[in-house]
Amino acid sequence: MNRSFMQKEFKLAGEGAGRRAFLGLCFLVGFVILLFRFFDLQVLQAETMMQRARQQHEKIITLDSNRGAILDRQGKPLALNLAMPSVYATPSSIDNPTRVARQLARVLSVPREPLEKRLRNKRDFVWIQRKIEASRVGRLNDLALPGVGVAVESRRFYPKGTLLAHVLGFAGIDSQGLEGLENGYDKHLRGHVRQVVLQRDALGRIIIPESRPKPQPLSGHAISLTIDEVIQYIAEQALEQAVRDTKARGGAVLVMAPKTGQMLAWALRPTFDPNHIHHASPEQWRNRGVTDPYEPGSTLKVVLAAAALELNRVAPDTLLYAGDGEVPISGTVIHDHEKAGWMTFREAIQRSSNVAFVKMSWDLGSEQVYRFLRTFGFGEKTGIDLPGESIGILKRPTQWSQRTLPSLAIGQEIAVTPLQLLTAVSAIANEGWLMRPFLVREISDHEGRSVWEHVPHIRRRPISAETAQTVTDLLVNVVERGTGKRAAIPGYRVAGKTGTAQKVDPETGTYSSTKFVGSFVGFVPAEDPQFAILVMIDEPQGPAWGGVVAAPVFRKVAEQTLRYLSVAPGEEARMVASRSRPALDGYQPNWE
Amino acid sequence: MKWLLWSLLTVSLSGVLLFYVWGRVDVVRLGYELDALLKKKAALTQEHDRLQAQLSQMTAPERIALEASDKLGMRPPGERQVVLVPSRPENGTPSDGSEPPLRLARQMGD
Repeated sequence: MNRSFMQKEFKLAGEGAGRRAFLGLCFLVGFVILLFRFFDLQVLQAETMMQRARQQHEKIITLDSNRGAILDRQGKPLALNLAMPSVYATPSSIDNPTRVARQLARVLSVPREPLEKRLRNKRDFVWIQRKIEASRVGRLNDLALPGVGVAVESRRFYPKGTLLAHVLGFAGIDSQGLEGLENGYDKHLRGHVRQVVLQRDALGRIIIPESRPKPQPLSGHAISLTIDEVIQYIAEQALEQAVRDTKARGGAVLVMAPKTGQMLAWALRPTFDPNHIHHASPEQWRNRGVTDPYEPGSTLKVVLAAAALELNRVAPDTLLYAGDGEVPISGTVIHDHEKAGWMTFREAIQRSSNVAFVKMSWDLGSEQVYRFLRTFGFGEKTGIDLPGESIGILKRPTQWSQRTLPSLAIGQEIAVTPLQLLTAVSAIANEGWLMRPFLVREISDHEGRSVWEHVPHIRRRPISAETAQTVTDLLVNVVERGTGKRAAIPGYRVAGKTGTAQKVDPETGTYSSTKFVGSFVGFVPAEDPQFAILVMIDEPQGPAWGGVVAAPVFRKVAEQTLRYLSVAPGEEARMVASRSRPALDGYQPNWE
Repeated sequence: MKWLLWSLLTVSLSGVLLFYVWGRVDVVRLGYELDALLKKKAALTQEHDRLQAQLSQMTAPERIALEASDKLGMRPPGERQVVLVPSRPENGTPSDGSEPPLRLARQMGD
């Protein structure tokens, strides 16, 4: 029994050793396979595996920085950003594009076909609709469509609507500046776009490593304008009413601080709402204050008067002979409104006598007239910080015909932008110093620290302070006794000049007898000018005289602005009031 | 004795490992909390921006003028409602300096 037991046990032991050896062999083979696989994964496929791991663990996020705000001179926002939802899709995760497109089309109120086409796209990511109304997001979330998500983007918002629209311009869907200051200062406003890698867990939640702080987007810089929101509103209201009352094609009201070149208001008609640019045409977007030159008519006589006085060719009391109010010019005749005979130079500008100014231009000669027009800034850019500025049209004397010089005397055969004319007249208000106009006074970073400040620039001095004073007195006379009476403001000395220019008919190439531009340019108070205003009404119906259609607009804007700036009437009182009112000129100018 | 030494060593090692793992887990937990707070901050910033835009719209001169005229019946003073008071009396007696030399007087009726 013992023997058989021992034999059996031995047999079992023999079988056990075989099994153990077999098992050991299996483990060995398995271990070798594992080792090989380990080597394969860790060494041979290391790069591929690491890349796949990175795709799963890491998330690359693009930090799209907010555009900087645009503020008026008092710090009131004119352009800022709003968070808006955007709908996107990952087509690879969508099994039934037709059904998803149908549901999306219903919620987003868009045609189904283009949506379905986009969902069948082979790309990993497609935008469905960007910057939609927040109310649609709730309905979209209720549907819980697979492969469809909502991301938050920043959208430019202009809280004041049409106010200052042409100067502000607008930004595109990718927050890029497209027009106006948004375009001109895009590199400052836009900030920086950064890509940051973050770790995420299996549920896609972001794990912030302790050594890496949460990345913050670098916001764009804010820009502060010289424009005052209230003066801008005053200008817009007055212009809107004038264009409506005269059934004009359009118009402009520009307000400038003559001592510094700061623009205080910039109103144009027709206008548009930069929040809804697709509702307006590019024609309406155009900033006609700098892009569209026009013939200034008699307002240009201010420059010729300054030239004649500077060259001592005339004095205010010099007698000029205007005859019977006609002067023949190589095949045509330039008329006055009334027969005048002899008149002083003061009366000539007071009545805006064409004949007297034609004769004076002959006396000055082509070279001097051209030189003064150039030194007052015509035929060159003013240098304002807006894109698309025109230089206007001013031919060289070598290109002039016999008609050109007398035509220039009455503001024809020359085209100026409204800004050029306002800048030139502002030089007279500024003791002869021609300034460079500007709109942005300061740029500050996202923490409000100033990074750049605009210092006013003197371009040149076309006339002396004495001449500027004499011209100012003549312009005050125009408003008190001449064609500009409707611009007069009780208690203040207003200096200004009217202008009524015929427009060229593009069909016939000759001056139209029905289309005019009525304008007025001036400044107030004459003895210490706080602001200069240009009013231009394009193609008014009915009476088109500058003194009738534009001068009242000047008065309305100037009167309200004087009150707003607490400029007291009369020299003595204004000196008292100036101690407490906000200064418009706080800079020491630089030479250009 | 040897057994005790090994046991102590194992327990100590386990303790260190547990402490390390606990620290890492806590960092991840705090990361989640931080992420949630940042999301909340972003939402509040968005709300702030929205309210800022609304405030800006409400204080626009156009709206204030409309409210003043429609609800309060206010309007700019007419031509005869603003009267200029001469700085000196007509007989030429100089002002005593207690008042501004020239001021605006407003009449309440037109």
